[in-house]
Amino acid sequence: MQTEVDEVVSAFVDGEPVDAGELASALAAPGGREALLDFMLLRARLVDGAEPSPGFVERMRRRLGGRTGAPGWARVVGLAAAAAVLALATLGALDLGRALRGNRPDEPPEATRVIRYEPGVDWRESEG
Amino acid sequence: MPSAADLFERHHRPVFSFLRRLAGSSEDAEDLTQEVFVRVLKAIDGYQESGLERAWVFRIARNVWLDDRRARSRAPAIEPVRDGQVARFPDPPDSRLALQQALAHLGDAEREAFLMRETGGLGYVEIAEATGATPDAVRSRIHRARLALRRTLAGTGPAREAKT
Repeated sequence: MQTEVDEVVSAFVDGEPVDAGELASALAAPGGREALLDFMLLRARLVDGAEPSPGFVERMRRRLGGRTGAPGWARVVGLAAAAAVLALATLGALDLGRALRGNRPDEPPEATRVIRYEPGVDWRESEG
Repeated sequence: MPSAADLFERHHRPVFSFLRRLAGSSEDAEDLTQEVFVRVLKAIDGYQESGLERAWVFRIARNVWLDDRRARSRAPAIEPVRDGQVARFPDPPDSRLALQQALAHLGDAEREAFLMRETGGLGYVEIAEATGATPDAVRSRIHRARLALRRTLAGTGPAREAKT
């Protein structure tokens, strides 16, 4: 009988569904309330706040491809640096293009190949 | 579908706590936790979402623990206390050690079900899924574990003496 009483209390402590009438009987039975208290104290005793080390967590995040713990400001600085590099590269490419073309921006580019057709040789006028 | 990184973020702390209680040290628990999530990474493509994600991860954790124990051919990390020892020395100076010894004294099935509940926060259905037992068997195992721990730890720390 005591075992059944304790088992209902144990399931209740775990947040599992129990019959309200059975629980009431269990808590009213001799030893029922003591069992509830002991089970709760046992749970509290198991909690010691131990955590994996930050170094371990960081290693695993890198290994699994998840987020890393870099601080927010570091990410902002990194993004700003990447944007600056991209802007400089774009400007540099434009400037290089102009230098290679050797003309002003409002002029058409120099022809690189000229094809000439001579009348009577490459083409003829037809009547009609 | 979650990634292995997602599962690590959601479950590495309870998995670590579970394995730490089983292995007896944080260093061993980190090694085992690493192995758990390496296996998660390998198996994630075959994972099918069923609402029992935590149970899936803990099943892997349990397998890692069992494999490690087999590989080392070791019993529980801390030798079980001999019968009667606690009664003769009811108030050891380190109640955490007493708790670890009491856990080591439990049967494997009781210990893993109890620790999945208490350190992992798993429900009975999840524990059943992770261990291959039925929810009723899990309920009984956890209850037996609590009674045994209550008896063994009576008078060894903040828990008051059992009256049963």
